[in-house]
Amino acid sequence: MPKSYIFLLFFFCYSIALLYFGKSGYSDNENVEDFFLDGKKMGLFACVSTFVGTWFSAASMQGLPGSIYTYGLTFVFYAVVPWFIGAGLLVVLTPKLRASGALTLPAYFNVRYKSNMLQVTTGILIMITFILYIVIQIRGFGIVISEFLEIPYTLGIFIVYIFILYTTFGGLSSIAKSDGFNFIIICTGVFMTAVLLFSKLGEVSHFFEQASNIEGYAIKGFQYFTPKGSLLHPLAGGNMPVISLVSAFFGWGLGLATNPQYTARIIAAKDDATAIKMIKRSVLLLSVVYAGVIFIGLGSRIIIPSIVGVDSVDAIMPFIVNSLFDTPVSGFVMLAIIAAAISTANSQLLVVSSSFILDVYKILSPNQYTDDKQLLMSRLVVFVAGSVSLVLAISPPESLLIYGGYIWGIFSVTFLVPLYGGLFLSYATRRSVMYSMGSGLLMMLFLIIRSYGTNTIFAIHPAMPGVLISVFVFWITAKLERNGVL
Amino acid sequence: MKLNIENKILIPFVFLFFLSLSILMATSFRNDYKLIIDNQFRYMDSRMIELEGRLNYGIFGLGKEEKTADEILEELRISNVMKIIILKDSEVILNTTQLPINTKTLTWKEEYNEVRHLNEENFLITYKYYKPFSWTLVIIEDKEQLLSFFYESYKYTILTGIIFITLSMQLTILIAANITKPIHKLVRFCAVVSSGNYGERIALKRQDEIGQLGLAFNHMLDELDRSMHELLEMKNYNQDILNNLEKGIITYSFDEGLRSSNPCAQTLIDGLDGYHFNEKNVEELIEQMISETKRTSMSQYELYRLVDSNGRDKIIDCSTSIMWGEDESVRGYICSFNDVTERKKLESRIQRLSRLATAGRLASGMAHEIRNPLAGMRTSIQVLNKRLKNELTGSNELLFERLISEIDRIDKLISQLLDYSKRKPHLPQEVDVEKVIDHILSLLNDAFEERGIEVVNKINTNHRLVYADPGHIHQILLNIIKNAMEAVDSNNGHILIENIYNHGTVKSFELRIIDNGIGIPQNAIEQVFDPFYTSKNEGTGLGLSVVHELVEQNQGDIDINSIFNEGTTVTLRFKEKETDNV
Repeated sequence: MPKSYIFLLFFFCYSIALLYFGKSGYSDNENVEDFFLDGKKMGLFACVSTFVGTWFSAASMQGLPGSIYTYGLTFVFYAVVPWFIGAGLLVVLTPKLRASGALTLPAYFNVRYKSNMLQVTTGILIMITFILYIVIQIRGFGIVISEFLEIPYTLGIFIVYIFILYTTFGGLSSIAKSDGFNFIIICTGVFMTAVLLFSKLGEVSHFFEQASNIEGYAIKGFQYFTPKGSLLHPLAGGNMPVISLVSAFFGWGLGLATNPQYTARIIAAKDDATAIKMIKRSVLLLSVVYAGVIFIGLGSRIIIPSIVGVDSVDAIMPFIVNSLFDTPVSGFVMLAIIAAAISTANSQLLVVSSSFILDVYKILSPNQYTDDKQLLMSRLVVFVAGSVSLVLAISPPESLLIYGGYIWGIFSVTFLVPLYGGLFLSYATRRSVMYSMGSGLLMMLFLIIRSYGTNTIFAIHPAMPGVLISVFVFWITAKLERNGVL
Repeated sequence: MKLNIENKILIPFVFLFFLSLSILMATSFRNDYKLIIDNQFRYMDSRMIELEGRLNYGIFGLGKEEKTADEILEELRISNVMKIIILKDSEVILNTTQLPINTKTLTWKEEYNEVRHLNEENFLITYKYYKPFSWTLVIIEDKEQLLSFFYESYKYTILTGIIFITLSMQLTILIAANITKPIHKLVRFCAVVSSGNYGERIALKRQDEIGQLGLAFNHMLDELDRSMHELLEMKNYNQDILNNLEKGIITYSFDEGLRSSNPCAQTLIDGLDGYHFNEKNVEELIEQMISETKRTSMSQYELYRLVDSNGRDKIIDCSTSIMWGEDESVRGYICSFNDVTERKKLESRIQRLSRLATAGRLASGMAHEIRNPLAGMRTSIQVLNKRLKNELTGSNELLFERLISEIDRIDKLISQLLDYSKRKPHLPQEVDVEKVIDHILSLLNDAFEERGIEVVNKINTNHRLVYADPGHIHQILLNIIKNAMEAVDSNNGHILIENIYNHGTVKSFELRIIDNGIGIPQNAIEQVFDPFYTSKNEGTGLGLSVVHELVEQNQGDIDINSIFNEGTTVTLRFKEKETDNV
């Protein structure tokens, strides 16, 4: 039987399981609060399941091991460390956010700054940003499915579209259950790969020595040449400037700390203690899984120092797994990558829908429909946003990790100041928030456009200047307003 | 495994989808596979014919010049136009395919002159026996290569099938959820109602059967609410009656477990703490009666006299009966009990008063009737004595004197009887009981000392005033203390006099005279106030009757508790003087 048939069988079994786990939410939701936040009664197990499932995306499952394979450990400091720092900031935010009684992050801004306009603006920003971000997940899935099943990329992304819509239609309770299942698949895939790589490495005691000796092009024809000893170096043997690492924190770390997909889960937890425990236990679980991912990235490079026929770092992981391991193992890894993409994308689609319904529609529309109609509208928004992301994913960005960093950066430059600045600067007003958001966003977009087409990996992340500008503008306008100048 | 209604709808549909699609795809796969194999064999057959033709007539000289088998074989090897294998006597003599082949499978019998097909695991083989050279001609095809195109194209069919199954399952889940959602809502609503929230109503804005069910449910709840309201009122009404009953009510289940009790039952049980009957307390007595009721299936009635360690008694009226269910089964048992001590005492007192009044009237009548003839008898005896004075000597004179003395004694007794039956003048005033007792004790002091009796006077000087006739009080206390003195043993006698002030709604003075004398048998206690009842050799039996009469006259109360051979406690109660009477 052809190899692709085995993968089809794996995929079919996964589909059935996902249908089973995702179906519960279809009849449980009474109103939009149930749909978006599971009635704000989620227990610790469900919270952790959906938190880790949402966190571990295609960027983690494909972008990270591919980047570690290519650039080395520096990408742990570029992405993973900032993520964990961002999670720490979420713990600080949790009590205030929950005490506000807001159902969404923009609603919290409204409570804090007394501005409907701010809620609507941030709601729209979340919708746009997440629609763009879902493209990453769809692309990740598309790459994997086309690699393993040997089918066209477009057909692959259509399949993920079906699953993302299905799990999102069930609301947060469906997503939480399917996320729990997906995370088990992810862990199985990661640890199975790590263990098999471990067995193939032979002299494991020489692991670091072997990794240090790697030299040459990771991908034949790819512009980056790995100098000897740079794979284990925190700054990639000097290729990664310190400022780039610091600036990456402004993109990834602060972006995670302001990300509505996590704040939604904080709000959905049944109480404050559960919300804080959710973050802590999730980080603990994720740190174990990331250790596996890092090992996979480095171990793959030792076994296969250079690969041919791959066009991006995101395709490295599927390629290596497909060529190194037998069908059942690579089948599990395929499912793990698919699970990572679906578990993140459905959460983000739900956030898009909640932003539209709760932050835009409810504020702007004079009509207040029944619970059933609001639920129908929420699902329609899921459908439309998913479809837009699907169309955008037909012509996707080149690197999941870089693109993801930009998207997270938008959250940093816009939400960081109103969210955390508001905790410390009690006299901050709506106007200072709007100015800081606008200035930060403009700065970041300007830098992205300016650096378009260049190698942005080792440059300053555009989120850093954006965040600095937004903080400055926030502080100065708040001061001026307080002194009556503005 | 418990399936909910959603899964009961979902699973058959999903199974049907899956089964039908699987059958369709498997059939399609099998047919396509067979078609490809058949076509390939047909193609190989045509090539076999071509090979035979070539061997017979073609490139081997078109029949003009015969060539040897070796020459033909060599030409075939050199030309390499066809992928063939030629065997002779099971030995491969030509193989232009380089493929391994198991020659043992190529069995041939001469009588057949047909092309044979073999569908091996990795190859498709067509072979035929070529008689002129006794060769076996074999045309072979690599099956994996042949089917790879088929598998590749069929993969899309499978993928389409998976997408179709997924979509159809999603659709089924959506439809099932849509159908069952109002049912789930109804179930949740029922849970809310069953938790006691009867005021809730369900809002199902539907016109179908489920909508009608919701309406019917709401209507049923309205009715239930009304009935429950009535029931609750009735229950409260009954509960109020039960709570306000001055009777203890306890109900038991069929297995004699305690089910409920009213407040009065608990008060009674608390008040009877320390009282026993045959070493059983009141709860044990009730349980015993309930067991008896269960055993005999008959109502029980008992009147218990419970006594505490101080000899005080309580009389409990206790009855049990069976509670019947609607189907005439035993639902449980009920016990009602009450402290009837006061009532019994009152009854006893009334009886006693009645007896005393009768005795008084009888004594008064008898005294009058006896006294007159007795006076005549005395006068006659005195006259006789005077007339016969000179004739009487010695013992006869003594007899006359004795006659007169006995008549005087009878007269004195009659006087006492008349005194007892006559209502004494009652002039109440503030009486200092302490002083009265001190006076009596000083009067009897010599007698106490003579008999070696210890008297302890513990009168509380703060509460010692009563409102009564001083002479009556003196008489009452003198009689009782004298009785106590006569009851105790010499040299070992002990008499305690103490008082208790009652702060209740009716303020009263309570005096107790406690001795350690021989006591009174239980069966005699009721009779001690009766006139002429005495256990002494020299008594008229009027002392305690007089005491009772005087106590009654002063609106007081007297109780005697006694344990035979241990002692007696006499309790006297008098109203304390009210302020305006002081």
